[in-house]
Amino acid sequence: MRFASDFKKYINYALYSAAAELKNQVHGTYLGWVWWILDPLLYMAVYSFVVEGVFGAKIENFSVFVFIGLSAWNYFSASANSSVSVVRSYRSVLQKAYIPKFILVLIVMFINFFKMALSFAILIAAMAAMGLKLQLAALCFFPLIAVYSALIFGLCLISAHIGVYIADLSNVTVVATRVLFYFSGIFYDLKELPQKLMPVYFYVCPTGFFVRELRACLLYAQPCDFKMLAYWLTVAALVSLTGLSLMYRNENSYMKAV
Amino acid sequence: MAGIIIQAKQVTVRYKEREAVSYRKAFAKQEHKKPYTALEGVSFSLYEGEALGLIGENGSGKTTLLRAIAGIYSPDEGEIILNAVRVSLVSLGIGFQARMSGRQNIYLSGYAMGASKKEILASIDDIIGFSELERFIDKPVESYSSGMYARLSFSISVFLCKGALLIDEALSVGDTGFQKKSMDKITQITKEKATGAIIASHSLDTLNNLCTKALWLQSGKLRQYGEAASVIESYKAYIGSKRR
Repeated sequence: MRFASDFKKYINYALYSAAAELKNQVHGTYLGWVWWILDPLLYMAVYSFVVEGVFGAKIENFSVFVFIGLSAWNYFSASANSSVSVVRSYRSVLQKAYIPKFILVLIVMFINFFKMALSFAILIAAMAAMGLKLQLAALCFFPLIAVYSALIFGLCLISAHIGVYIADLSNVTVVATRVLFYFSGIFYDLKELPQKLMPVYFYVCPTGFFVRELRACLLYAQPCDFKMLAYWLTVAALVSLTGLSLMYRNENSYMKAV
Repeated sequence: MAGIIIQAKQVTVRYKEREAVSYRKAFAKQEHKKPYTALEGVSFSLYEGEALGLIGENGSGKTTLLRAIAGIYSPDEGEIILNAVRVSLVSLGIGFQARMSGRQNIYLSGYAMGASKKEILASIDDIIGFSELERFIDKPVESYSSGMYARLSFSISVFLCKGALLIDEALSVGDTGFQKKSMDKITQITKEKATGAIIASHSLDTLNNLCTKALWLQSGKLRQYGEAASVIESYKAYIGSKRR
């Protein structure tokens, strides 16, 4: 109940703040908002060159394959890394007004969601130019992103809470996300991992699961695995509830610690 | 008879750690976690339509008390009872973004205070007029002087506030004319809306004019609480004796 009323009351702040931060990030640069488009394109070019050109990997439509993985990954990674220190970043505001702390996590997520949405818009335009048509299965994109966002929200709430008390968590998160990156099949096919791991893998590696499913629905015209999606929805709900509960119980002592 | 709108009962606030700690310290013995008591056993009541002055030297706990009432800190002991009123902490520059215009910062600060778009739209002309920044409102606030910045943030706070006002050193902004206008505005809001105000300031004359009661904090403890003129006189005498 309190979450719903706080969400309604402060959602405009989250959106306005995210928009201001996005403008700030490109303020003073020559290319401005073009960087939001160039950024994922350049990363895709680098990974395509290294994996396909240098290591000779053979995956059909590799640039699209990498782009889907990178877009989904960056949303998770950037949100997780920013959330750890988000309460400290907003210290000056929080000392002057009461703002529910989950709103800060939403600000971080809105910024990264916008970038991901832009990446996928570019991807779809690029696919059309390459003659790759989206099929009906592409509609699975929406429930996949919704559950993925809910899961990221929950994880970011918990890391933001711990990050208030343990500043070192930001360093740990950078390393942990880097490790997860290499395990998530962003620039290789998960079939290359030992197959005996697969039954467990998709239950423990959310990014691996979501990257695979997004590729399946957008690139290979296959519907998503709804059973596994339901599993991750349950995990997302539990993690989010835990995160919200932690924040609401402790948020009034955050300002004494940061 | 006017009712109590804010009641503090034996409020104690401690800071356990001023900064976040490293793992090594977090798992070490708790020696570094000696709490610092910022407020200790403070009690008072604020009645409808009343303005309460908060005085004391720097570090005496004035800001901590206001933040505790505003819900930014939770008391470690005691309780703060808000009787069916909301409170608004009036302080300078809530989350201003330097590169955004004054107008955009009105929205940003307003949303941070929990105001709706409708409420902001209803007040925006008053905010701009009161801050006397009509010609500069669409310029980035990074180009503002400190006085212009303070005038805008004060105006946002007072026009978008709801319920009782908690004013933290925000009355000494701008030139003399603006200060007078600010005081009149505070008096008007307190009386017209039948709420109340708690005003922390080092400007004793201002508090004498605005407040009916005063509360003197010393090292986090309540030193004196009562009629404004009497408490302010005692405080002046104390400050005078310290300087001699």
